[in-house]
Amino acid sequence: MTQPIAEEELRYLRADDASVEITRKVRHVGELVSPPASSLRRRLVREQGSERLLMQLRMPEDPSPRERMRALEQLDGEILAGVRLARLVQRSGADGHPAVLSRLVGYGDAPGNPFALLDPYIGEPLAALLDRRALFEDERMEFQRGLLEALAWTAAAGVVHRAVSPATVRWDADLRRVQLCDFSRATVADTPRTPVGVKPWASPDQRDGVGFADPRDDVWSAGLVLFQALHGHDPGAFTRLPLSEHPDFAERYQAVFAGTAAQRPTAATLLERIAPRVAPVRVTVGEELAKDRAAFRRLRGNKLGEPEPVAGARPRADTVPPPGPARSQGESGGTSGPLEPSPPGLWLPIGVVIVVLAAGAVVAYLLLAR
Amino acid sequence: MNVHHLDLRGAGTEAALAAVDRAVGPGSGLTDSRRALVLDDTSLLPGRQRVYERILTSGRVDRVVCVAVGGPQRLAAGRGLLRPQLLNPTRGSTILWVDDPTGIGWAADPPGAAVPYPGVEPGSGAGLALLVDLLGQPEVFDEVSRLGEELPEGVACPGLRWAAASPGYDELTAALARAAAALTRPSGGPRPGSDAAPGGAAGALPREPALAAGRRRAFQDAAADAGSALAAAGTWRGLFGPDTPAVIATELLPAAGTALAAYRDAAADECARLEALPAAERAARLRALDPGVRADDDPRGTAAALRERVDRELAAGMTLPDIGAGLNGLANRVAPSTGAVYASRLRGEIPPGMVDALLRPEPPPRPAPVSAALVLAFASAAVAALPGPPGLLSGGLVAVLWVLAMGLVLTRLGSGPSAAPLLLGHGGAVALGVAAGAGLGAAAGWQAPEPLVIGFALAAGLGLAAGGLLGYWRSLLRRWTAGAALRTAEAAAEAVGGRLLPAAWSEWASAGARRRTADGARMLAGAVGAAGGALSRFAEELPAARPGAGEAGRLDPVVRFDLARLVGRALRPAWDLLDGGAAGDVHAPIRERTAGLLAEYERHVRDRGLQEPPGFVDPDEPRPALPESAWRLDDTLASLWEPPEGLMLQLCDPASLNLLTTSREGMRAVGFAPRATRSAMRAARGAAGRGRPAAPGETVWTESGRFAGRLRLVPLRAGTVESVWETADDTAPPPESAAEPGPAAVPAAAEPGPDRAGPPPSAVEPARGAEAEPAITPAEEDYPR
Repeated sequence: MTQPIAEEELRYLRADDASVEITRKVRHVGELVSPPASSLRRRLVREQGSERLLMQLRMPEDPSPRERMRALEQLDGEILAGVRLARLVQRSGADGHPAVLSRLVGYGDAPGNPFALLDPYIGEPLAALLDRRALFEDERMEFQRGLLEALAWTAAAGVVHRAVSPATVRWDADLRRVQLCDFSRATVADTPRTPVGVKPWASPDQRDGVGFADPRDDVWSAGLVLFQALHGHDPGAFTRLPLSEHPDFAERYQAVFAGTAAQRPTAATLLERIAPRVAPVRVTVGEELAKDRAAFRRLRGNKLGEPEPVAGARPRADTVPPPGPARSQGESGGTSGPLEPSPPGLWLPIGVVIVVLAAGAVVAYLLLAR
Repeated sequence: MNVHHLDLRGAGTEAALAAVDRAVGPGSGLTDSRRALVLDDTSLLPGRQRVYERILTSGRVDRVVCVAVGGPQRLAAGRGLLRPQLLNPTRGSTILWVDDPTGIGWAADPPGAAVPYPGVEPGSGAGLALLVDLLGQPEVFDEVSRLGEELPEGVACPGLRWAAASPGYDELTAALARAAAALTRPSGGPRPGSDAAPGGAAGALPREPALAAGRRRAFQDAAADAGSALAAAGTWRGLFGPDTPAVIATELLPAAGTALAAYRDAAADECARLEALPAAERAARLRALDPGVRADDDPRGTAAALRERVDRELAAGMTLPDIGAGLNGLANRVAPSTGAVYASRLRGEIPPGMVDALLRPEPPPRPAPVSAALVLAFASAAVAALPGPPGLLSGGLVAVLWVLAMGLVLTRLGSGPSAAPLLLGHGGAVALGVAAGAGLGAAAGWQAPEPLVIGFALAAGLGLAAGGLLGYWRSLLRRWTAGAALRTAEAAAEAVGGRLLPAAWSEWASAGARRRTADGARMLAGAVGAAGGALSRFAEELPAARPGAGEAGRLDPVVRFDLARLVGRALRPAWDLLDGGAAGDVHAPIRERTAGLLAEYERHVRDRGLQEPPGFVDPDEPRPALPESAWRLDDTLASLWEPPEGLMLQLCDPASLNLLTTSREGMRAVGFAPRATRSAMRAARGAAGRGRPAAPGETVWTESGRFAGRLRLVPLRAGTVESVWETADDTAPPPESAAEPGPAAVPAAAEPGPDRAGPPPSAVEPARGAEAEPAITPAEEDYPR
């Protein structure tokens, strides 16, 4: 006896343009297993008409108040990050949604039944892959580049993922493609941090919940993911990472594990490091988002009593130009230095002294000769 | 293989022939075995003439033991067994008739009633399974075959008594669980794995590459210029030559610094450019730069090296997690470094500070306002002025020359703000010297000395001034450290050109082999992990052993040996991939393969014990022996010493017992026991067995197997066995073809042995005077029992 196929009519707003509301019938294809830390349920649906497969994130059935609160927070995170990324991609002129990021298609904001619709994830979680094998040589560079590219996009969108780990980074071995997924813990950059995440994946300042969320919080987590993916060591097994055993990694990802976000390089900088000769993906903050961000900063500054940031006084991490080749300024400073050409007046004192000496000697001689 | 095993039960003639061909037919591999154990149906046996002819003329088989399974057939005179004429003792053939595959408990002499045999499930087929297991051991096979010649018609019904002569299943289970756990637990200790990169990825550095060689030569030229100028600077040439210290500091050393930076950047660019090239282009470029560059190694070499490593570590008893960790470590070590690493190492060898030290070197030291030079100035002038008033002129001349020389010194060093005070100081010193010298001369009364005296004083003053000046110049430049910076830079360039770039060259020249080795090691680490996972699950699913079972761990060495070989065999999919130079995700196939082999192994140890190596162990490889203490000896002894005519599991239906003889004389018996138990058995017999053999005289000691006991062969009564002649087309042969078979077809039949009376009179040769009767084929009639 076959199970009847459930159908449902979904009304949702497009992620890249919330003014467009779409109504579509979908068929339930199957339930997906949710990660243990997720309070959201995942269901695979097929949109009738287009027949495309979508993943629906929805509230759990009959949640407790605490569970409902947690699920709503996670759904908010998905929608917030998805909307920001979708609009950034739309305004950046990029050719389609970057494959390195999961894509929010739309979201339903009905209070009783909020949900998010995403393209199904690709590949498998990195954690599952690493249970079987390490990344092969041909996959390693693509993996690094893809993950850093994903973080460069999120940084440009002002999104901090806050849960980058082998469970949320997926790898498709056939497509040779990485995908950063599960934005349920995401927040907006520059908002006050709250304690999120656990050792070793969350950065110290993120765990402590001090200061303001920074895209470079994710750089710490991504560094650990990369370390595990490239070298097969579980970071949780170490109190101190054996970076000295992996000079290649230590060189490329220098300062990634710095104690504070400000000391860490940005994802764009890391991209420059690992593939200096490959044109990096230049992502910029969309004007609209930049305006919103500026307004937010002003608002926050007013609330906290901070002076309004002066343009250029505190450059944002994602707008800092990548550093140039590591050459000291001294090398390009030419030969100017303490040594200068001899001044023309050197011979004057010599002449004076000689004249005085000669004159003194002659005068003394004449006087004595008399 | 010591005994060819052919199961022809249920197979038609063509299928049986095909099976024979596969096993011992033309083209099949030759082995050291010339024995064939054939299982057949009694109902099909009469039509098997061609089949057994094919076996016996294969040239690969000398002796055949046919286990004919099934009830008796109708003969002309009652019931009995029909057999192909070829299957007779004179042809080295023996027939063991298994009327009932399970068997019954029956004593032959005095003949008793059929009773259930203890421990044998009705309908289980246990008797036949055990018989086949025993006959698979060459020692038992040979003895049965030998005894078959003594049996009437070479036919007997087998009976068995046995006891397990190996550890109990509980102990085996416990040993399996322990060995699996030990193999899958990381040791945490140092790993003895080889650190050498397989596949030829490691080796001596090639000769210095031509990378950025032009820039390096440019730096060396610039450094040589600066170095020679620096060496000359401390001499008269430093004072009067073209390369003044100021020129060295402002031109020559910065030029060397610029050349050094250019060399470093060119090397880094070359590294980055080479790294970015596709493998084939990179190899071509490296070969163009240096024709001696090595090509990538053969993938099979890499695979063989990795396999040798894993096999060695498995044999050494390393745990699977340790082997996996070692392989991952190997992968990390042999993976070619990236250009970023070499750029970093380049920056380490030639740091910006080193270049800066050349671009903006320390200026030459300047004379201090108060120094020993002032004393020299004073003394030189004073000596020249000693001839009294005339000495004023010679002293004045020396004074003027000294001041001029100091001006020259300052000019050569590059002037500075302290020039005027310095000159004034020296002017004062020489003036004082002149005054002092002249005054001293006047006081001494030298008012008008000889010109010779004046000349002498002048020469002495000049000489003193010149020598002092040169010494002072030397001492000044000795304190100049620009030379040290230049030497450091030269050493760094040498290190880059002599070690670092060749190392990069070497890595990238063998990048293909290195990448292949690294990927192979990673794949193997995953494969070993998959095998370990399957082993862990297997250990978890094993039935819990009774408390105390196998606590001594006496079976552990054997089980660990077997499990290590099992893992080695399970890794075959990975070897196949590696041989092809590829790497892939083999986790699932290896996990399944390991699980399959483990199930096979469990069956093996349950059914055949540990004494016999399982199928995945190379029989030629030395395997740890089971300790004698692992054998259960009491039952073994009892079963060996009991008389053969007593109660045994007779493979005969009660309804057919009347076809068997019951006399002790006609019966034959063979005792069997694993050789490993021999001394233990003798010891176990203790005082009672002193002076007596460990087992009855007819006992054969087997190399494998886990059972000890007796196999008795009960002959059939006279007239119950008939031979059937059969032609190639399953019809009765013409008498001449039966009498004179072609030599190629049945060579032995053409020359009947002494026991043969010649060709049979008909297709059916009645045994022992039975009347001839047309051949009955299974297709013609069913034989109800």
